[in-house]
Amino acid sequence: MTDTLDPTIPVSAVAPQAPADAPKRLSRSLGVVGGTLLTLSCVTPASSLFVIVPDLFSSLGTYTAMAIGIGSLICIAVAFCYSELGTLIPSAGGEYAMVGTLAGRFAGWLVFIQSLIVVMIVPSLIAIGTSEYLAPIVDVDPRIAGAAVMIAATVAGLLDLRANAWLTGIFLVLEVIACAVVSFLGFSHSERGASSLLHGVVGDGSGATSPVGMAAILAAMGTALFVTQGFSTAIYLSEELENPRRNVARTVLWTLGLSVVVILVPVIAITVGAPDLDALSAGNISELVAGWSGSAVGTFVSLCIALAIINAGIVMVIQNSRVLFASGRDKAWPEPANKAFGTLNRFSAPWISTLAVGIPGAALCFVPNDLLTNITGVAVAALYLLVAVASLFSRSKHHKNAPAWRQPLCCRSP
Amino acid sequence: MLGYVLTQLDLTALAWTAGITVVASLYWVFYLRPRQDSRWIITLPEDQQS
Repeated sequence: MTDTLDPTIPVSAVAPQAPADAPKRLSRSLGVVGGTLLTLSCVTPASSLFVIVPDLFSSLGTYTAMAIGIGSLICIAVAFCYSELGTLIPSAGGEYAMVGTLAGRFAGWLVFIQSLIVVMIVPSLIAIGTSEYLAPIVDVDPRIAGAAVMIAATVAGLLDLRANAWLTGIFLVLEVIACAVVSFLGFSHSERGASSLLHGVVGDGSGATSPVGMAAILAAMGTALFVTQGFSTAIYLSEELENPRRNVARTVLWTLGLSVVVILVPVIAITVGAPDLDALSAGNISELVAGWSGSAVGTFVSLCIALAIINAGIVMVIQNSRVLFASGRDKAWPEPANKAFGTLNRFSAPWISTLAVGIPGAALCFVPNDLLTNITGVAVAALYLLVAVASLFSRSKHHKNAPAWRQPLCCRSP
Repeated sequence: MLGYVLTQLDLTALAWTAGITVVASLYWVFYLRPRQDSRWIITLPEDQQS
């Protein structure tokens, strides 16, 4: 990292005053509750549970909850880093603004690239999962369904059909209901005790089982980190939170905590409630729910999940197009590209940025799912690592006395 | 811990991510860095600039 900031240079020198014609700053009107609910709506933990977690069941079996638990513990440390940096540099630019300001523009650029990998892949990954939950009413190839969801989400983005607060809230409630129903059904059909969570076993699909070790958990840790990824997007709201020095940290930590609960409780329920290890390792939650409850409830839950996934796809395409829009604003590309990414259509949507997210996203639905999941896991781990390293710079001479929420048990550099 | 986790992940995914990161770094070295005054200007809200 050769381009680290000289700590004697004030932050304002890195971020020059915006020109007079620049957009006005955002209004600080969100509290912790509003910020947490808004972030949770964007995180859509149910889409992680029902789309990403089945991959973990197939590789880790009964150790899935353990892997997510360990991933969540790591995420708590990462959340502390995000909270400290988010209160020190509360910017809608998120990670790259924080890291770029503290650790140098090159570090900020690397963070931006990792974020870009994540935001380009995640909507496709989530969209591919739609077909499994539409299965009770229509049988469609996962790749085709994923591409269709991505194209629909892109059209919604082009028309700037942002879900209003009520609609977003309704989808969030539907997600939580689906998770609660799965949890209830799993616990009420318990086939094995809680001790099974501490013994890693996976089924091979033919009735035989094999043990799962810590090495397998570590190999799947990228995916486990990816499951709760999204809590950090609370810092994107830091320009809109009241009293950001206090509320950014609270919003990040509350969002992480609630995401972990919404994901981990159903995972435990599925682990103890699956009729056998083959069914658990197959990771077909839709079939498990149908088996526990009968087809009507199973269909209802599956459709709730499909709706939540489609909503997540729309929200992600709209949100992620803003990342490209912001990169054009920050002049990351040659001028024609910067202008293109910043071009708004008559619905005030950044239409080229939206197409640049949506069309490759539809194409990515035809890439093997495992590869997309693993690349995202690597990018998330690299992103967290860069943020953690940058948090050390927040204890440097220039920033150590700046007013900010400070993480506990952290070293203090001179 | 995160560094160790990274070393345990899928090699193909690591190679893809590393490849993208290398290309992005070359873009930084040959395009963004020589244009520091006009490119990759990180903006902060006005009330955080002082």
